[in-house]
Amino acid sequence: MSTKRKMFHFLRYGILAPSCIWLIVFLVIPYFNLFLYSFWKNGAFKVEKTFTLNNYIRFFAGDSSGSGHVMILLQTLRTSLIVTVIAIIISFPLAYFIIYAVKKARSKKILYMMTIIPLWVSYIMRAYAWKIILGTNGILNSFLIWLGVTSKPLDIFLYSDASVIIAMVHIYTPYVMMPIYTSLEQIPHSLIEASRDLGCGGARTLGKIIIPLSLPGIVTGATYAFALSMGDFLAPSLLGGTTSSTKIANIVQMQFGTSDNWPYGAAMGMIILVFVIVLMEITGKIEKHYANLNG
Amino acid sequence: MIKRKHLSTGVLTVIGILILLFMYIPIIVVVLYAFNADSVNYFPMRGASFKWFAKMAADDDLIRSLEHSLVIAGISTGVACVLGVTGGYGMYRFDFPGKSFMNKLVMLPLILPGILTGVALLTFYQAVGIHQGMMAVILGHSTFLIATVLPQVYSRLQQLDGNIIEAAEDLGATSSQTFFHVVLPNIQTAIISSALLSFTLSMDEIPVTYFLNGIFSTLPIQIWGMTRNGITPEVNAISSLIFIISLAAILISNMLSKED
Amino acid sequence: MKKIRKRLIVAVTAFSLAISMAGCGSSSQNSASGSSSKSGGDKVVNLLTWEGYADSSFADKFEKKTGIKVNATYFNTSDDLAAKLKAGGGDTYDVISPSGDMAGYIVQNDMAEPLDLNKLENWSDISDSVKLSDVEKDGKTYGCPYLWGPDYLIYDADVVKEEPTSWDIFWDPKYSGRISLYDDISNIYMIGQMEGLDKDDPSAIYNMSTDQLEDAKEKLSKINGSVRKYWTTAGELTDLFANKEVDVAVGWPITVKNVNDQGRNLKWTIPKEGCTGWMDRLMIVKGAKHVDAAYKWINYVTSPEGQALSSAATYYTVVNPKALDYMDDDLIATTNADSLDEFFSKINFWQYVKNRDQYNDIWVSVKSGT
Repeated sequence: MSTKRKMFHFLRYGILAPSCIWLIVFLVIPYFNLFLYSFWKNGAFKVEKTFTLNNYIRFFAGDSSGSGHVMILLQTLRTSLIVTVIAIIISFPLAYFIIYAVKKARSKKILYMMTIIPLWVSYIMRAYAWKIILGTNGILNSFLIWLGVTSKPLDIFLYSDASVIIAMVHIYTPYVMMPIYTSLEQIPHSLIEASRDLGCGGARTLGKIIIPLSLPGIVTGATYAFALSMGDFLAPSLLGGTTSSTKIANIVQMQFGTSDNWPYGAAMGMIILVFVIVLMEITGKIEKHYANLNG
Repeated sequence: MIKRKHLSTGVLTVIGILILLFMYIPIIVVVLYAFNADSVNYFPMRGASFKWFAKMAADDDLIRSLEHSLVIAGISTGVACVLGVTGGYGMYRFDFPGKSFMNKLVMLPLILPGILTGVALLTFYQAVGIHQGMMAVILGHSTFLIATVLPQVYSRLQQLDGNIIEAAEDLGATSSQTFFHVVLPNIQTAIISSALLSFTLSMDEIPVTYFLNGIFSTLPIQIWGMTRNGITPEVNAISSLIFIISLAAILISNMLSKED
Repeated sequence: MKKIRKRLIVAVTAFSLAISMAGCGSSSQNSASGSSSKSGGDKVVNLLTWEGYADSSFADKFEKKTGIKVNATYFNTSDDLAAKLKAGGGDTYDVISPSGDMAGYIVQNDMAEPLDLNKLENWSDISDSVKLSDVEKDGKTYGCPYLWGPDYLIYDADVVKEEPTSWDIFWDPKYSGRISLYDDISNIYMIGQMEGLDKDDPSAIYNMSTDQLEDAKEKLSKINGSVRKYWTTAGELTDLFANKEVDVAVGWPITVKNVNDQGRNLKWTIPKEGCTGWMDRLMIVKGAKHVDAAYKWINYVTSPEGQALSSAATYYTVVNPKALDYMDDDLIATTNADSLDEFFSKINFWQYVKNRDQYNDIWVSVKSGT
């Protein structure tokens, strides 16, 4: 091998080495370690490295060491599904509005930025905002009283399933909005014009052309929102009441805190991980299928 | 025909505005009530005051957590940039086995809930003997921030005219000269833009930090504690401040990344 | 435009570098493990305590007096303490303040240093009645009493006009959706007391059988829906009362203090079934890095003035009777500092629960509605 080629190879590996090694050490190995942990036993003081399937068995069926939590997983999935669907219902019209009803390119850009900004600007602020709005002594209640709609503050707004869902919708909508906007943006205007020329009204064009072509974006956004909201333990703990504050991520958090059962927590982490990865694979395939339509 | 168009545009506009209001009213409310003279959030607001900002500035614990956050964000962003730029460049120039796997791997910490990454790192650190603390958090942040830098650098590289690299090498530049004097200057907006975004993300990160921080507090975790313990209007003040600063960072980042 | 951009880039880079360097400088000063100066003496003491136990009203005085910086981390429940201690150990923490339910466990599992009673300046002043034996092992003492208090019934006197007499107020439909309980297994003790399990033997509620636990689970599950929110930190309960989210709760004196300081009218009572309580001891973590500073802290907060200030910050009750000279009458009355024996007798102090995992499991089931 010539010197130049040797140097070339060296550079190739040289330049890739830092990031590759880092990712292996701080991403691959920790997840693999977590995988191993999920098969170990929880001892009084230290984790016992003896192989057991108990953690997984316990999760689905409950056993002598404790009850299972598969019900909570299902409850969490239900909540995440609701959040994702509402986020889509909100994002699509908004994206549609910006792309089709707003004419000036500059305004489009500004409005788009406005929808993205909340995403980058403080999770806490967004969760906390709902706390002060929905509370018994909060802004919504005093607004309703001021309007004369009610005479006493209403308890139902905060510390309920509803408050968790509302806050999560608010938090995760930008994740859904971005890819939907990108998809819609990429639909050639000529296609829509052609559809109109051929006699399709607005609704039919929407149903037959726009929605199918934007499906990849919808699916991507939905995947993000669903996966992230599934693992969210902060919003439920701040805004949830009793049952509504105990989502699967909260149970996992407890295993590394008060319940002090790391192997069981690791098992639950693995279950969530598998779930998210399978979801990504499925939606990835759906996306590819619809993206092919676009060609 | 024209009438129908106007109607649907009108309806769309109303819907669009309503949704934007939903997205922004909470944020506006937080900023507005930072100036609330009362500590209770009544509507209409009873009196305006700067006192919560003053209180915030005098809150030692809060200031200390801000310092911690700045250090963590600064160092993590630096590390992520080095790793993201070298990694992105490597992926751009070379094809290697496992390239698509690496692509997916890099994006993983973004889509996986923070709790999983936090918990995985926590158990890993225990196994190798890294204590909870500043270093643990910095390592964790650097890891997921790569996902912000690498893709952006990679896509910016792909927009580059490949000819300039060829030209440089034809003219006798070594690989490192090409990298430092030809490639880097041309992607600097992508680097700065992703660095700004990374910094913002790190300053706002809670789930991963929560499991790794041990004894000290970062700004978002400190604020989190405050939202639960009833020292509320101060939270409005600090949140508003963070909002303004993050907003500036994002706008600058956006300006830089669109510039060509 | 290009010039501006270049300048911006330089500015941003310089800014990040500056911050990193400043950070490196200050982080080595603020680093958790601290440092001992060559002239001898620790510069920091790291506490892992209940909220309020490092309140600035007395921590600041300590810092001024000794030059030792106080770093405090708070834990939410005794289980949280155990978890944090396991994760951090002596490398991270010097002094901990476990309650009765954890103290014995910590001592038995060799997680604390034996105390040199000669170094404890106020040891002989502390009432003998609070020197419980669960922190003694092989003739050595591992914990020094600090403060104690009850888990009593707190109610908003503006809403609840008559003083409640029993814990069953939590099952009263009138307050449905307006109550709060501590997010901890101690609610199971409450059921135990309501069942009268501890009439003859206080330790019975800490050793409940599976049947008794299932019964407790059933009863608690009935009110899970009417609890507005479970509180994990005293501050959370303060927040709930302050924002009028709840009218009745189980809580600690520190909440009564903090909410009434805001001009409200919270009152407390010990129901007829009795209540549980906790005796907090200060312990030095095994392998602690700043043992000298730890002793200084313990001596300060068990001194008459330190006790008075601690009590004023939390409304918890002192263990050193000499502190009464430094407390005003209101505080003495509120914390029952002068009717120690009577108050003491109404309280069933937390003990170590052997099947704690089982209690925790029941509690999580109740919370999650499964």
